Amino acid sequence: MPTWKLSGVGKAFGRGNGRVEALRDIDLTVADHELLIILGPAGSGKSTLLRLLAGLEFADTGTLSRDEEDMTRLPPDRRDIAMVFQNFAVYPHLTVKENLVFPLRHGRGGISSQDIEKRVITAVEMLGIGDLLDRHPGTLSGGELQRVAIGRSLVRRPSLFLFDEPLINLDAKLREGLRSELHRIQRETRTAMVYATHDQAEAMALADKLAILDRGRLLQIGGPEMIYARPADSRVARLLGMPPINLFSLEQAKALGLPLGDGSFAGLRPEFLSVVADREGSATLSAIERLGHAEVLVLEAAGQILRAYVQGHSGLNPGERVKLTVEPQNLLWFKR
Amino acid sequence: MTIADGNGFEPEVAARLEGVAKTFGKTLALAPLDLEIRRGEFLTVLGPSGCGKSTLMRLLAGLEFPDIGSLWQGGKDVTRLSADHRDVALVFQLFTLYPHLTVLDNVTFPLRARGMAASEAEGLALHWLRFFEVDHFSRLKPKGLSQGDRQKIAMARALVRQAGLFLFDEPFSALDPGTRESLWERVRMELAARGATAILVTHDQTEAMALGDRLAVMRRGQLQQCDTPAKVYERPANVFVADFVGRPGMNLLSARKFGEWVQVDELAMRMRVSEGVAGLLKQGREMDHCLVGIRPEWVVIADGGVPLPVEHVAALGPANLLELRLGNGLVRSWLPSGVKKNRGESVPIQWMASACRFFDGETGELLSWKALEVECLPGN
Amino acid sequence: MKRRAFTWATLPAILVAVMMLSPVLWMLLTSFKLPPDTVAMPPRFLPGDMAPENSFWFRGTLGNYRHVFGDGDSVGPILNSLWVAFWATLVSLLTGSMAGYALSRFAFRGVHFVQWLILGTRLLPPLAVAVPVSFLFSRVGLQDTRFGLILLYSALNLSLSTWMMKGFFDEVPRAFEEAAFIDGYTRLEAFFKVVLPQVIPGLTATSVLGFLGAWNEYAFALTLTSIDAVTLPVRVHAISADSSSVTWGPLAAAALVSILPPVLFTFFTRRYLLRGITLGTVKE
Repeated sequence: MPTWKLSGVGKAFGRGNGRVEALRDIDLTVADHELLIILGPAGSGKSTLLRLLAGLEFADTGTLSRDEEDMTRLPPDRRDIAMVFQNFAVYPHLTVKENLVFPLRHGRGGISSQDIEKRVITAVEMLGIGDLLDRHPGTLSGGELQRVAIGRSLVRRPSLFLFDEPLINLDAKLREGLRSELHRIQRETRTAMVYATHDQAEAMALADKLAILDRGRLLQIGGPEMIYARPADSRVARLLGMPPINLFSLEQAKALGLPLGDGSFAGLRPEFLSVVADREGSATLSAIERLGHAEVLVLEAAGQILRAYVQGHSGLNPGERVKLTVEPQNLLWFKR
Repeated sequence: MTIADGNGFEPEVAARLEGVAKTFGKTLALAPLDLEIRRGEFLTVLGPSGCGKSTLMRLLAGLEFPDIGSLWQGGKDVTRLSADHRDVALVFQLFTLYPHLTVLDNVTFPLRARGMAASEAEGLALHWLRFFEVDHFSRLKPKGLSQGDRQKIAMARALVRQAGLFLFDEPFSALDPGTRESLWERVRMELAARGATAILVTHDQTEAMALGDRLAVMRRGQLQQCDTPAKVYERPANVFVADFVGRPGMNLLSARKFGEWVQVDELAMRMRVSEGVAGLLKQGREMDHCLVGIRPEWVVIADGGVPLPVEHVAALGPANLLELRLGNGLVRSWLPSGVKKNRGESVPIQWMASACRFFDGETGELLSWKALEVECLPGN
Repeated sequence: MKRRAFTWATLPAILVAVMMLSPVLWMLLTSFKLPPDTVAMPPRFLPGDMAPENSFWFRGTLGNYRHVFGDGDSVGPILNSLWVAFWATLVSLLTGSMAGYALSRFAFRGVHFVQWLILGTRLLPPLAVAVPVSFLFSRVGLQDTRFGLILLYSALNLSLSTWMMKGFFDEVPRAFEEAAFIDGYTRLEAFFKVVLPQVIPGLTATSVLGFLGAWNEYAFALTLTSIDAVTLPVRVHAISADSSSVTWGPLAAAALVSILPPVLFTFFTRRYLLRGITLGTVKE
């Protein structure tokens, strides 16, 4: 399976005053077998990036290559990729089975009928949609539709899967269920996958490799744990982690009595903030969010609001005075 | 528990549904439902898409009328009253701000419609716009504003009024979780200060658990359970609630009962159970197939435990979720921070008797069984 | 399914329906009446052989129909109208769809200008171009030909088809074709296999309107046809202008026959008109 590479890619839309740079200076590699997640807020350019990889848009600058072969200007059908869209794009006028067969029937593929049959069966088994085959998409639920959409991309046996926020239109519980299935599918098919999302929990749970995209620029690329532990700047730090990282300016850090370091912003992950009851303490516990398996403590100190994450039960109550402790090595310092 | 006076006015109850059901064409949106909404409470309604929660809201609002059953609000029968005659304020997901009015006019609209003087209405409106930090849009028309801002304005429009019942249907869906959290904190405080009754519909169960005084879980038009979030979490009424509530949901393991022991399928672990009152009366059938439910936080890594292979470790930021393979399914456990496990590794797990919940293998209902001891069987 | 409860709001609807349909009912009855009955007051609306003076009964007769169609002069125009309307609708539907699709999908410079230009042609009263068109037709030898009418009607209907279909195409998410491209289909293949099936209600609505337009067209038909290509509206008018006074009976008969094809067409395609626009697979 090949390695895909983007070098110095840029893309802009519009002209004159309305010109918008969707992507700038993108350098990215997707290796064989890898699940690369592009994490970024709305408008960061994730969709554009995926569409460039698909061939639905072409880059203004830079190159896109697959194993040294230049694919920058190649149309989508010659790239050997498959894409799953946000709004599923399952054809309502065909049955589920017809939808699954459709990608293989365009006449230029030269795939035999037995081969088509085999591929459809494999995909159906992998996704558990066997009893939906004769149904029409209009009668299916969101989760079922999404499975059919994934099935359509599976039958192509491409060398790269592109997923554009495929779970965004499903409700929370369904998202989680499909998420682990996607992970399993990616592993079973052993194919490279590029997956775009704005949901950081999803990104953390799925990624082999994570690329943070913000306003058209790649801020950091690496393994999710690495980026979580050592974010490149405060923007990246803020994007990963729930509850979000506690961020302080220099003044705020001083006001809290934090040990100072090199940079203009300090960041502290909620799980590294220790909280103990102390009647002389300088902070107050204003609220507790019980998550079941853990608690988020909302604290007030030096006029600021901080959050701490505690596994299990803290045994504390809102209104109590508490003492906060931080180990200096857990403080992250950023220039930006 | 309600106390009604001679006129049927129940001070404790803000609204009540009795046997309310609704069908749309051939689809049963809401099966006959009984629900009591207490005065001053913040009730969250949770369920997957299509569970009927939006229909419930529309019935309460007076935008739809039930096919059967009756609706009571403030002690009066409002079943046939249309929305404009009911004492409700709504903020729905498809917030409708009048595009031809400015933001300020939009917010004063409900007040002016009830006869309030312009200056007074504006003062109140500005107060609430400031509360949501969108007052700088006052003179603008809604067009061009972001979804998030529009939702805040729609919420301001609801809060300017005093209403007997506030209905929120995913009103902050366009905002990111962080903003949503802080907004709800403040809105809740405001509602509590007024003693107002509110219902929030959502499919995000973290939000539902965190915000509700009581939580109502719905599925396919039927109410599954309605109780405090803690009780729903601790003692889910059936397997649907057990799985749906909690991120991730409760581990549900297939098991078989032999005499007084429940043996988990494909796992060298069994529990001795007492059937409680039901067992003493020996009513109903002999159950052999059942489901054992244990929340991931109660599945601990312990040396004497039963080993299972690691399927996946989901790094979820502050904590890591361990997914272990058991037969065709997974057992999930929260890893203590700092502990690292890799795929394929064997991890010994165990749990306490008090953590076990038992569900009927056929109906999925919660059983009154209690686990008295947990035994790890020797062997592989 | 339970019966819909009666509300007072349905009364105005019934009233409007009665108002709209009563002329048709009058036409139906008149077409079976003898001349004296057609203008009798009070109106006679009960068929039967008892026809005492000054009552509501009239003698039913097929004489009017025989008069209109008996001499065979009207069969030709009916066939002409059917032929012309059919082809004009088909051509304008096909070209309008493709144009509408192009306007919907391709963002080329001047796309808005082109759209408004196409719409602008509808502001033109057709009569304004009657003379030039007539001149053109006779020069090219299209005068009094069915082919000429088909061409003209297609052109006249094109602006409506394009605009309507563009609207329907706008509702179809691009992801549908894009998924097909990725699979290897050309744009044309994707258009026919994937996009067009999504706009069947649109195609039906557009073809119904197109058919009506072509079927009812009178002014150009009058100017551009004389013998061979005479269409039904022209023929119907000719019938009524036949005698010194208005012969309501034959007129009603002819009119009734002329509304039959469009009514039947709309009736048989009504299911396609009502089929949901997005069949629930697009979650926006």
